[in-house]
Amino acid sequence: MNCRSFRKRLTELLDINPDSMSVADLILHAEDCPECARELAESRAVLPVLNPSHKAYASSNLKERIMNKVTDLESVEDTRRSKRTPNRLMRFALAAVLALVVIIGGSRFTLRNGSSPAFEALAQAAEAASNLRTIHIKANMRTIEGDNFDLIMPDEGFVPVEMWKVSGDQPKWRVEKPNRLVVMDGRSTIMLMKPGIGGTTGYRFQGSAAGLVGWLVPLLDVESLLTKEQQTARDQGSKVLVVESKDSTGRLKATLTIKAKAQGDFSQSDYLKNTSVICSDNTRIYVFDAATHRLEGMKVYMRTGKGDVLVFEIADVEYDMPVDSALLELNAPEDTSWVKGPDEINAPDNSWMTPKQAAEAMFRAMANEDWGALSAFLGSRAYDPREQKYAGGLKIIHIGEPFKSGLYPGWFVPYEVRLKSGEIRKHNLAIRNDNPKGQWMKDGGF
Amino acid sequence: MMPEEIAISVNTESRPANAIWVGRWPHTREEFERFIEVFLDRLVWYAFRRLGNLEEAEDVVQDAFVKAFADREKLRRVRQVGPYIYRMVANACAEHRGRRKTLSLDELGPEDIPGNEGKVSQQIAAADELQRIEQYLRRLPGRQAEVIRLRVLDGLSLSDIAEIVGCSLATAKSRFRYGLQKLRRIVPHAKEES
Repeated sequence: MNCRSFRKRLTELLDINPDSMSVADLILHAEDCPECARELAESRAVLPVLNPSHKAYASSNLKERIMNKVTDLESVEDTRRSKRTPNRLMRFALAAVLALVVIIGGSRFTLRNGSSPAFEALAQAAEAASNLRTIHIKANMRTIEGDNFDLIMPDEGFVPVEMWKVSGDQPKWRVEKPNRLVVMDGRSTIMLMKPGIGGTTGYRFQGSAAGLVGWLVPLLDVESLLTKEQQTARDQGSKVLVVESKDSTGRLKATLTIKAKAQGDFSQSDYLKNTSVICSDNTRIYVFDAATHRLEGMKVYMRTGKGDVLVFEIADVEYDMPVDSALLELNAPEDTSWVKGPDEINAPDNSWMTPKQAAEAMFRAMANEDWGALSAFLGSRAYDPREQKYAGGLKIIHIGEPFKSGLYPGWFVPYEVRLKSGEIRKHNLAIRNDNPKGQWMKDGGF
Repeated sequence: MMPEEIAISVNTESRPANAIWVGRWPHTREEFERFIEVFLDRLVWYAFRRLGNLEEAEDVVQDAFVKAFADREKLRRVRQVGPYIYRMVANACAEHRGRRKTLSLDELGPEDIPGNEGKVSQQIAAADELQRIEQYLRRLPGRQAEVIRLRVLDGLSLSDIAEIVGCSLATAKSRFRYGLQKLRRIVPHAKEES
């Protein structure tokens, strides 16, 4: 939000029933910008001057007069209908059961400095969430199909993301987007991914490996989501905004907006800046039903050089609806190539290497088509024939100096290689060794 | 560190004044009675501003409601019920004015106003107020002034206003915005009050 767009949209704040979700960013901008705040105040000040102190009202008997006319009309209609059909009463009764909806409008926004209404809203929503049996969320995220669930690409289109959770003694959940799926059946977790090259790759984990779905995890557990947001707001001194308003059906909504700063260390590199929600300056807007305190919607805007970009949006939330049990079973295609972690196999030890040496060794293995040596960096999974054809025989052009960025626990190693096909690949290899053996593992970037 | 916290809440006191009808066209007698309750004062005030005479405004509004009931079968597909009844009254006012000499608010005086003492004083006070307000609104382009009248004097939302005046929501917003910008320069003390 910049001053120009604020002034263009200023009238939304002066409307009768402002959409609390869409005006939240306007209010936040006015908080930060004294000039726009003055613009708003001056525009607001005009309206009371135009408010009439006296109005003309209908005479007390006007309604009765009109209804008398209506009665006369009905009599005429009755007479006409009785000549045509005998069941007027039946049709009248059917019509009478149709409901009417009246919006009670008149929202006027006022700012006040309360003690902690925002945190009260969080606490109430958390309590409501603790009684849920199932939750099903449909969302859209600007990202890439098949890539990790944390990844946000503000310039990409929206990709659908769907999540289910069944509560109980052994909670089960499932998160999926095109070409990537994580399922937890109450005892263990599998992740299936279908990258552009090769067939389906599978990972198995004991217990709940919620880290696989990154920042989406808390959305499945609204209680912890709100606790986390509460903590983040306190730790970061984030701005928290609570807007109460009625929707078009008259239901009271509470919209909670949190303006958060990017987390992580970007002193070495801003490579990961704006690649995930956590690693970006962002505005998270939650909408709760004020009566049930249940989460009904969420939007995340990422602050980029081009302004605030909507990167995530919950399209629909269903509570306590039956969930197809097959969705929560650990089923995988027969041709899945399963990856084992370094603690499960006897891979050649590479823990003594520096990040740069590890990257060099990995590319050298590809260059020499030494798939056994490469497996030390991939777990037990061997490259399938298509992957071998893609990477085998490559030429290393350059390996750069490793760097860290954001919250990523591993390292990024810049590289440039020429594939057998002649294609030049220049990117950053992500490698990490945060496992019990300290083994370097390829995590992405190739 | 405690986070900076701002809470925004709605003012519930003035809600009935802003009540808007959504849903289908009223069909039964009961629905219609409720429909009249919601719109009667609003439409009389709207017509009064156009005709400058309370009795004539009431006649026009009564005729519009009766027609709305008589034509309810024909109108059952109308979804923007509120804006539609406003347009019916606006058209009826235009027709009514065409049938008689226009009585502007400037010309309005107690001697012109039929009815009882209470109604006379009510009309005088309302007309005085409208004159005060119109001195500002007359200096705006007509379309901008009309959007501001509907928003401020009738308490309508911009989306309803767009339906009533027959333009897009974006156009209604921009007319409101430019009208307000001009009024900020015209209306005395607004800046100081802000």
